This record gives sequence, structure tokens and C-alpha cells, in this order.
Amino acid sequence: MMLPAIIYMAISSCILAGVYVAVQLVKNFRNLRNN
Amino acid sequence: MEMLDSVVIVAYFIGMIIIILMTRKAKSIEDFAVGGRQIPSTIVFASLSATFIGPGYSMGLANKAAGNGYIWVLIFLAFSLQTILVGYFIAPKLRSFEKAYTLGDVMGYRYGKLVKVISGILSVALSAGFVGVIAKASGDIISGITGLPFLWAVVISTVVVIVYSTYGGIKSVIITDVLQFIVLAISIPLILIFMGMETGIAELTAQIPEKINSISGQFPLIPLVGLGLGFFLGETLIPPYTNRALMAKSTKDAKSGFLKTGAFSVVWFFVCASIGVLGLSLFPESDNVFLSAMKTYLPTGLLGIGIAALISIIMSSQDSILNAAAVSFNNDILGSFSTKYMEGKTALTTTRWLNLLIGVMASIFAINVPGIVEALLYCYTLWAPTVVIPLVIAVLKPNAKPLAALCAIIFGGLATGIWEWGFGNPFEVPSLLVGVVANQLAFWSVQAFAQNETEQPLLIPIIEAKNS
Repeated sequence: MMLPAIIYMAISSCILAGVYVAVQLVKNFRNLRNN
Repeated sequence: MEMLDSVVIVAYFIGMIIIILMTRKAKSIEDFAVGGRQIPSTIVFASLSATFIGPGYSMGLANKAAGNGYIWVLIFLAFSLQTILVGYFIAPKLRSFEKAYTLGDVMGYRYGKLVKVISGILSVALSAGFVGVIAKASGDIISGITGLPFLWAVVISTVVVIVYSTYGGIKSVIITDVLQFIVLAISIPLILIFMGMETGIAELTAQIPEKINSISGQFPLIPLVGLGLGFFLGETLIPPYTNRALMAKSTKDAKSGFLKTGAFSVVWFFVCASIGVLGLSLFPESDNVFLSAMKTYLPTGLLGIGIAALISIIMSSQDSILNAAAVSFNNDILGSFSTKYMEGKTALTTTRWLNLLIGVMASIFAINVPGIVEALLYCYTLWAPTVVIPLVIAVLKPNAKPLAALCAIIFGGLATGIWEWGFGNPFEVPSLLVGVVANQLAFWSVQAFAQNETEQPLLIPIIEAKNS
């Protein structure tokens, strides 16, 4: 019973990491480009 | 593959090219090698993650898990643990070498020119070998999914990587890495979501075959320990990973970037292994459960994004390793013979040419003369038993002796070579273990008995005074 819950947690953490990095890229893009 | 998927893939490439064109061209060797040391922790994290996630750490893991179950996650977790330990103890200290562009520089500051050149040669050979292997893998994977001829698949993906990494250096590499990370982190878990929508994750977990359902995965103990050790030490501080610590904005950013990567790797390994384990009952005859699941379950349009993710997995590893090879060749090898390669226009121009040459040559050799790439990959086997622990000691122990490091590299390398290629790994004891033990015995014996000062010019630590 535990396994499906762990799989769902892993899926959502992975997608959240992607979204978080996307937000950070937008915030930092100008600095990254010009530095 | 439908028309819409092809459009998505083409749009992805065009988007990437636009972002690369918006990036400034590298103007100095510091720009090209370490991005002006202005990279914040989240970007270090995304770039490092995109680099370590190659075909083996994604599709390869899924297909292994389809064979033996979640035991492979436990084995891969040795890599996560290593990344977290490097984050806590090594990455911040590496970043405090303010003038270093490569791990060869760090070795040179502690152990002198000879150890720097040896580290440089190993770095270049290891990295060039990887660039070739990934070029071939990109051909196999991209032509397998899209139906493009093998040669065209290699040419398209490799040429794009070579062009943007030569133009913008590590800055272009990082920006594309981050973009590629976003695509792969969001789209690969979608395979599981769509598998679950069709059959239900709970039902799929109930169908996991008995043979792969035990935690041991039917692995005998010694090979299991050997594999764990391989994942713990095998890729520790390889050049592109070390460069991520050197380019961070601060010691804090270096630490945090590695810690986030270690934590993310745990989640990533679990997602990939789950695709293999749950996909096995759906595709029992498939020899690539990952690809079968992706092609079957991702709907039109999303399949295009999934394929873009696979291309991202390939390119984001290849670009970082290619940059590391070029910078290391110029800085650690050429720079040790003439200071003109250490700074100024010559350094930048030479590194650019090396980037282009290594990329082209490694790809041509990988397709036409695979023996050369296999020979270069011997350096992968030799990496952990030669360079890794002396590098860790260089970072942690300022009074480490150059002769101790030189002897450790020589004895570690010899012991590994003899055990692996001379005896063929008897008693299933991995050569990595034998090499690491020999490396450490040599290091600490010489460290205890060698004189503090040496007059041998090749073994006098280089003074950290390079100008950027």
C-alpha cells in the first residue's frame, strides 16, 4: 500500500523541482545572460 | 510519431537556439571556463542535475529496474549519498580556490605541475571518451525514436552541442542545461502519470512480478557491494561536476547546489526505476521498457515533449563534458608548458578551437573507430583509484605532500590496471576497491615518511596567482 503513495510523492516532487527551476531561470535570466 | 510531435521537437530546438543567441558570447577564459563565477545555487543545481542525468541514469536505470526491481534504486543511491557528502565537505572548499578553473588547477596548487598535468591528461581522456560515447548513444536513441538515419541523428545533436558550447562557453552550456532540466524533470514523470491513468498505479504495483519484488533483487552480496562502491566513487568529482563547484557565486551556493542535486537525484532515481518496474508487466517482451512506455502512454504532442526530454538528457551531459575537456586540455596540459595559455586572448581562442576539435573528433571516432573511444574510457575505470582521493585530500588538508599524491596516483592506477586487465577481477572483487586501497596505502605511507620540502621543481606547489 505504501508503494503507490511513494511513487505519487516522487512524481510530484520531480515535477515541482522542474517548475521551481523554471521560475528561478526566468528570475535570473538577465543576470545569467549579461554577467 | 504524429506530425504534432515533430512540430514540438522542431519548436524545442528553435527555442533553444533563440535562447543561445540571446546569451552573450564568452569574452574571456574566465567567462568560458567558470561563467565569471556568478552562478546562483539553483542554477548550479539544475545544471549539475542535467549533467549527471545521462542516458544511463535515466533510461538505463529504468531498464535495469525492469530486470531486478527497486534494488537498483538502492545501488544508485550511493551516487546521491556521494553528491550530498561532496556538497557538505568538498564543494564549498573547492569554491574557495578563487583562481582555479579546473580540478587540475586545485591539484597543481597543492601538488605541483607534474600532478596537475597527469590530472589534466586523465580529465581530458575521460571527458573526450564520454563525448564520443554520448554521440553514439544520441544516434542510437534519436534514430530509434524518430526514424531519422543514424548518421543524421548524430550530426544534428552533436553539431548543435558543439556550436553553442564553442560560442558561449560554460554560460551557454548552463543556460541550455537549465532549460533541458526543466523539460526532463517535468515530462519524464508524465510517463508514470499516464500509465497510472490507464491502469491505476495501485493495480500496477500489485502486478509487479515476484522475481523482482524482493528488496535484494537476487543479487549476491559481493557484486552488490562492488556496484554500490562503483556508484559511490566512480563519478565522484569528475571534471564537469568539479567545475560546477568552481563556478558557483559563493561557497554557500556551491554547497547548496550540490545538496539540492543529491536530494533531487533520490526522487529522480525512484521515478525512473518505477517506469521500469511498473512497465515490466505491461511490456514483458520489450528490451527497452522505458521507450515502450513512453511511446505507448504519452499522448500526441506530449510524446514530442518526451522525445525532446530524451534529447535533452543526451545534450545536457555532452555539452558539459565537452566544455570540461576543452578547458582542461588548454589549462592543465598546454598551460603547464606555456603561461600564454593561462590567460588572455590566446587562452580563450585555443580553448574554443579545442572545444570544436574534441567535439568533432570524439564523435567521428565513436562512429568509425570505436576502439579509440573504448581506450579513452579506460580512464573512467582509472578515475576513482587515481585522482579522486588525492583531490579530496588536496581540498581538506593544506599540508598534503606532492610526492604522496604522485605515488598514490601511480600505485592506484597500476593496481587497478593489473587487477582489471591483468587478472580479470578475480573473486568478483572490483578493481576499483583494489585501486583505492593501493592509492591510499601509497599516499599515507609517503605522507608519513617523505620530507616536507622538495627541490624537484615539478613537485613544488604552484602559487595561486593566476589573473583572470
